[in-house]
Amino acid sequence: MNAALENLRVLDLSSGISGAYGTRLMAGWGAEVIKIEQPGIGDTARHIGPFGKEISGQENSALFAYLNTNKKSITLNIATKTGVHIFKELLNDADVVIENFQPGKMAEFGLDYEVLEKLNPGIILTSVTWFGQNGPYAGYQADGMVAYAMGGQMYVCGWAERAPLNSGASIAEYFGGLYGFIGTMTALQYREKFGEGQQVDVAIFECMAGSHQFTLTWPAYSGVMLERPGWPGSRAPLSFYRCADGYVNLRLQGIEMGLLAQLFSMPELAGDARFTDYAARNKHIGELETIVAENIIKLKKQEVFRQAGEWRQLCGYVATPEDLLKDPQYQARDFWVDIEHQSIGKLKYPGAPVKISETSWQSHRAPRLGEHNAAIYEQRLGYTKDDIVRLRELSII
Amino acid sequence: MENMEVSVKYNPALDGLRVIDLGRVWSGPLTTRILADFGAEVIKVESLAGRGAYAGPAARQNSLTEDFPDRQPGEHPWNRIGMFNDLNRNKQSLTLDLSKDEGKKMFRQLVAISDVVVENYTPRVMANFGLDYPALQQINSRLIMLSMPAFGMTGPYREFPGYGNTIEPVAGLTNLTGYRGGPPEPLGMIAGDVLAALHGVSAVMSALWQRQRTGRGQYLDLSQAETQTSVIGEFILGYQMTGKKPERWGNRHTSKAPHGCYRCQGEDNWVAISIGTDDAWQRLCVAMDKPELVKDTRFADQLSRWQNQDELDELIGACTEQHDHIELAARLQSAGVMCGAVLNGKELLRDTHLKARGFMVDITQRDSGLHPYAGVPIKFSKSPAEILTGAPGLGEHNHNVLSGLLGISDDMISQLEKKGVIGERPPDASVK
Repeated sequence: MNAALENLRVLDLSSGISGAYGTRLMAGWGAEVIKIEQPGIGDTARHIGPFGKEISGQENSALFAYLNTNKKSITLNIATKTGVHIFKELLNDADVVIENFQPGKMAEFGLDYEVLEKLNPGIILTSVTWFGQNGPYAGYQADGMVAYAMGGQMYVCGWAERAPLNSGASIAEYFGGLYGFIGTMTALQYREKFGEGQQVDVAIFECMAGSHQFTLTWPAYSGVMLERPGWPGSRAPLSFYRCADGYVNLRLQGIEMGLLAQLFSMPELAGDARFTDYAARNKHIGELETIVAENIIKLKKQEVFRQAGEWRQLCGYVATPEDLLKDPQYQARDFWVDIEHQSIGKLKYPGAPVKISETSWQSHRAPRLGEHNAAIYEQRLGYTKDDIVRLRELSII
Repeated sequence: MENMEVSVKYNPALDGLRVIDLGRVWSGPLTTRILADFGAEVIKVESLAGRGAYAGPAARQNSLTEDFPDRQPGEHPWNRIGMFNDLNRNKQSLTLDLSKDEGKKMFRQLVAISDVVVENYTPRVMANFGLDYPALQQINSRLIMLSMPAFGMTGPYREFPGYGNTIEPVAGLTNLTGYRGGPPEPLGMIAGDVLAALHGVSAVMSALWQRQRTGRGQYLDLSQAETQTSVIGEFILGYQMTGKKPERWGNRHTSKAPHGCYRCQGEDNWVAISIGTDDAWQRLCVAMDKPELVKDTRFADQLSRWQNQDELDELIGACTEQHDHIELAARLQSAGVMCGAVLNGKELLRDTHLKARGFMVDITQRDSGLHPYAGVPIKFSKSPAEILTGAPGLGEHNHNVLSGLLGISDDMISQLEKKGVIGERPPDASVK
């Protein structure tokens, strides 16, 4: 066996990011993931930009292409009786169903856990929703920014004198996807022991509220509140400095002066009495900041980062996607994988997020909408070509 | 159904899985805490001085006293650190000095009867101890070992140090965040450690599933940077497809409008509002008592609202600042508007939804007392996660583990204490 999850069968009813990232990991590590998409429209991620050369069409979205590698796609309208019937046939040999509808929607389709469990007692139904299946906010609507706001992250992001700031990356949705994966795998461990499936309810709001340092422990322990600009901005500041081609961050309070002396070709800095010990440096920190700001602007960000790393000093450089694709560390570790896709071409994708020694990460492009209809409906479920035509005319597939 | 009664009581899904936690700070300890919440037996192997980073003189010099109960370090400050206690519930603590032969010997004995080792040192550390995967695998071929350094176990940056806030820029997260037209900004709350931990747990669970079929353990090489870049894949592909660098949108959205954070009544209170359809826009106007805006041609449809966002934001801000942020968010949500109050720590602790779902849990820690903590964001219908014990005191389980699991005699244990291989107090220098 050369893929960790290759005997696992997953039916993925989700759309967008929060379900799909978890099933991306499953498919990457070898599970068979069948995306069940709405006929004609498909996953909402297919309609989110940026797009490839052709702006219209369902096969051009960067988001969809990234999240759905190694999966199969069939179309099925589960809001119809026939659709539900076919879904139940697929359920027979499935291990996992993942969905991210509004709570109550699966019951509306007649596909709540009690129904699924009767048909397949081992089935695990994982729901990844903004607020969970119950509770006062269960019917609320959210998107990434709203979840970032309610989860407590936004309050501490940005600057005190300005409005709280949203994250550019879709942190909330990806947290949901990861917890969806973890919850599913945990339920599978339970099934290994007790033979039964179960229902797994992931609330993104809780994923966010539970992903803090100090935000909750300070008020709980000492009544103090963490404010913008968050941790550790206010203490032991790790400040951003502008270089010739972008930004780096450095922590000047604890930095080795030898590194700065070398970077700026200013050997006198290494022995400068203003900066030798912690107390002296604290007193003259403003002067040090000025020296750094004036000199670092002449250097390239990656050069500063690499030299700091050689000195074992904390430093980050602000990488753009272009920088990342050229970064020697990512290249040396073969992080990027080339995948050819008929609509968007051959691109470099992030590969295995963790290298598992005896598992090869799968690298097949995302499926076209309904690409596997024939394989699944005809070869697996035994429908005839005529049946498929009928189902298509009825807008069921 | 026969075994239901038994299972509900002590069935956490990972019951029987023994995990050795060498994790420090955030990413490693969170990885093993998740495993512990689901029933794994997690033994935290600590050096006696290890907690000094949070409770020692450096921490106090930075006046991080907010993280002590009532800001008092107390008699045992190393057991009273909020951040540590939050990340280490449900675990046992064994102190071992891995630089000493006796420490290494007991560590190897423990590895022989364990399933998983998690560590987040820089790559050379475990090899220097002689405790890297090739060495440990010889002791236990079923062992799953997760290493999670900043940049991975190989490559030119392998020995570079990194914490969440220096890795996030390198991984590409920082570049995407910032006020519109401004420079990149760090995330106020680091996401990187959590992303490393969640990917780490995912890899452990996958390796475990595979081990149940092959009987063999394996090695998991996690680069914290790569796990972070994995959540911005769409931007990496988008850049290659369009040749355009991603923009920093601040609180705005590529197509929705209004989409922003608006000031409310009070000192620093805000509400985030996100409108993606004409219907939702009309519901917002009505709910804010501004029905006339529905007919305003500047905001008549989605595209015109997006194009006239500056005026739109001003009008909405003028409405929201009349209201309490939490009440307003509840009212708008009831009217079908996508929005949320920007909640701070205190508000999260008393949030009605989190309370109703039992997410916030009160946990007693021996030296810190009873406090509320964030619980588990996954609800399992049959194997609910359980929080049974607060974070262990330093070395609290030395006797349990050494005597109970490894069969080491009481005499020997006292000798180890005398030699400083184990203990329940950090060396004085690290705490005074």
